[in-house]
Amino acid sequence: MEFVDYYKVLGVESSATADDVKRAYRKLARKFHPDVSQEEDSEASFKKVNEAYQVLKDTNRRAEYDQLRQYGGARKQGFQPPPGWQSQAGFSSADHDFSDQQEFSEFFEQIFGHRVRQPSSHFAERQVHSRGQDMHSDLSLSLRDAYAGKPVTLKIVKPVVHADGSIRNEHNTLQVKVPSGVVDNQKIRLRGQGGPAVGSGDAGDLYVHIRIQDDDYFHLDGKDISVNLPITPWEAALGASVKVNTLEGAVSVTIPQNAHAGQKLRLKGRGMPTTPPGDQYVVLTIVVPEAITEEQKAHYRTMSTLWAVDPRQASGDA
Amino acid sequence: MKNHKDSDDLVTLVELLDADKRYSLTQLCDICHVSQTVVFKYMEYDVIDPGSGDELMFRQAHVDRLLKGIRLQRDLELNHAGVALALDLLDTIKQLKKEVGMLRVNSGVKD
Repeated sequence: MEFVDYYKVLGVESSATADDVKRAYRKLARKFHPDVSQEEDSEASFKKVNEAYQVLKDTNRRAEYDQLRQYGGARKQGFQPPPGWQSQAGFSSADHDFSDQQEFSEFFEQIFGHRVRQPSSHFAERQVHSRGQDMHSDLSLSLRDAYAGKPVTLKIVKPVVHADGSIRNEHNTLQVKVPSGVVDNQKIRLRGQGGPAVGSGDAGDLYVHIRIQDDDYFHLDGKDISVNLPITPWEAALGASVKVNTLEGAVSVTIPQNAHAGQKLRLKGRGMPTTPPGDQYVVLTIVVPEAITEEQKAHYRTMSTLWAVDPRQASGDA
Repeated sequence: MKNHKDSDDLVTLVELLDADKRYSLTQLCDICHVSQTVVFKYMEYDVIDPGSGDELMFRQAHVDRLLKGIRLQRDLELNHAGVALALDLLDTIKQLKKEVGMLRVNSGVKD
């Protein structure tokens, strides 16, 4: 684990006053806040800045951090807190500044994250009951799973309260049944699957941002699906009835006479099962068979005399 | 307290947050972890405007906007008027970017 220099993150000297720290944080927070920032990767930058501020703005935490910085700051790599290290300043979810915050780095956790909840702390006297923090996660789903509403496994890292009262981040898996008909970029909420509560409050919620992967065959556009359908020139000219796959199975589709390449046929209600459901679009592509045998070549020659068309007429550069 | 560590149970309490979803005041407070007073304060400053009606009903856009406002207030130490101004400006920027993008496409100018 690498030692994180919080002073460097905020761009201040280690002798900086509380006001300097605050000023530096405010400036960087405006620059990197994910809700306003135009910067790339602003979320990660803001997390670092916020974490640094949470430590340096608190006199006790800053004093502990300074101690560790002298101890381990020189060795950039392989930092470990001294054996038996336990933060007194620490943090707990009863600490108001932290209850709403997002996850902190591994470095932060090592230093401040193992605090045992002291029943003697002033929080206990005030009988703090607060909701656990809301958490956010991403989930990538295949289009077919999204359509079918198939249960999927979601891996998350979340704070867990142990029997001794300490809070540690742990890996956790959840089986989630995403409602069928979820579309790309949509969010779902899993009640009570966020951070643990303090006292008799409720656990926080877990928000999951759904990303739907494109499929080799089915292409998703909002709640509509489009597929390519290759047909022969004679099917295009004469019309035909062909089978087309939908997410619900194959259906018969009538190709109209004199269909052209790029033409779209709409299968109403065959898209994602939202309310109302999306549609499936079948985009025609015409596959020209190769002329290999003499007989096949003779047919193409006959066709060239039967149709005196110039498909390049409108292209302007023929 | 329930430890979710070994939770392999199927989570069934899954809500789809789509644009058509409506929330009552109580639900909004529950989702955003705020009291009704906080919501009314934001409504007073026009940060969210659920419209008039017998019963207040909020849309997903209101939830997102309120959460954004709360985050800005917390992280940037803004007051309500500041949040309202910031969110309006962000909306304007978003709209202008969209228009610039469309004009670029129509005039064939690349980024």
